[in-house]
Amino acid sequence: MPGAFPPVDRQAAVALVVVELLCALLLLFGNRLPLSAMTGATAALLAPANSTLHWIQGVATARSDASRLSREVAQLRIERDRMVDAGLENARLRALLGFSERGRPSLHTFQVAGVAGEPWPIVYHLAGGAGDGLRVGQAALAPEGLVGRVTRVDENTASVALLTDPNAPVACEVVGTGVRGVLKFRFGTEPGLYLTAVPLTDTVKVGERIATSATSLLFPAGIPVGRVTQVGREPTGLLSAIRIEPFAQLSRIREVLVAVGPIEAAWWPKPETLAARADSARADSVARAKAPADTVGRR
Amino acid sequence: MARATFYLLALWTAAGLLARSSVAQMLSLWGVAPDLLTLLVVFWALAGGARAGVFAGFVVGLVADAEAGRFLGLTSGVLSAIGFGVGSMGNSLHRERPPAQFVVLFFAASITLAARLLFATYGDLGAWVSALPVQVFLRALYTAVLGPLVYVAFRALGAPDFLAHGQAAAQPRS
Repeated sequence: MPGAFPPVDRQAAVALVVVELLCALLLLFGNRLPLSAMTGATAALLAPANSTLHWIQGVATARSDASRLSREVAQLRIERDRMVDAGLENARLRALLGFSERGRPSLHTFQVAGVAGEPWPIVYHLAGGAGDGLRVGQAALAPEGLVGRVTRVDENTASVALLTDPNAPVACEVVGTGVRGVLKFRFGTEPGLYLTAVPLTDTVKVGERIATSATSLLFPAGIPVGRVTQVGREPTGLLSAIRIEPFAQLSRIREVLVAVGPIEAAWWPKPETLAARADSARADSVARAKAPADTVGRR
Repeated sequence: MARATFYLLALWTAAGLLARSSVAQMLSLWGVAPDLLTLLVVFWALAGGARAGVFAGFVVGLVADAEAGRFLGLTSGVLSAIGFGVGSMGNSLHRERPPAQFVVLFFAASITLAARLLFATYGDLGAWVSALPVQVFLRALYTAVLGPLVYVAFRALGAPDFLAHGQAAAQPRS
């Protein structure tokens, strides 16, 4: 039926056939190529412009960030005083029970230079590499909780596989009850993060928090991960289907914290150091209380 | 293709790839983000014809696949085909009219997103079907609305009309 379809550009048709063959070959054998090098090159190519865009965004939101951070600082000061007391108590109890001390990771901040993955973000490209202390396997965090782990590092860039990557499960446990499971991103009728491999006999409630498990080989224990939003039953009837909402807003993060460098020997400082800090914190609080009203909370 | 059109489209592509990498999530409304890759390729194909569409689809898709670090060749293959199809139709369309752009973008984005989602779900058809309404059709709709808006904004800012008939050099050779 001549005229029903637009005329075809023959050169374009040949080009399409060649390109499709090439794409099919890449799809079949692409895993034999140095894909991480290509990912690194792409990230490095886009990084300078991404950094500039991030800087512009940062300037645009600086004012609201400053007021939000001021509120958070005030809340954290109160929280710090409580934590110092709790730390003292914890150190004393650990000493009484003879518990060994946990290591504390040294956290460094890295800018997210790019986000990849469709339809959900699954990879962050970081503006930092091996020269900045990044290594494959390190945990990436946001202030709210776990983000993912470093899966590729070159000299100047690195990639982080996010919690939403179906190939990056995380061993977790429910805070308080210690129920263990494996956090995985799953598709299905309701795509999202699920705590899997939890028997029905283990009770998990909506609202409970989950954190990385002490049994995890990849992450330090106790990193907050998310909150239980839905508890159901797997189709098999043997396991619970527990939906998790991550604390970290993975689609909006601009910087991540990565645990780089050697893990410090003690999670909590020595009791005498804590006591000194507690005294100092209380002295600060008293000083702030005595200060004239217009100097308190000034930005 | 006129040189000015080529430069404008090259700038459009660079800006789109950067925007996709950095601010695509900022553009999301109620969790629905536009498909900027298809947006780039469709406008390339409308302006430059089938050959430009194939080339743009391949390059843009390859960058996206390399950035994601998986399924290398998937996006480039789909976008090349989209570029060819849209480019071949370009001369028969009122491509400078936003409604025509809307229709082309909606179908092109639906096809691209559906193909990518199928691979993202590792072939799980149940998951694919359940994710279609939000992850494919709503995103395609958003993309189809955003594209003409950007075009109209460009024109309002005084940019040359790179979709006007007579600009493209994609006439089939006999």
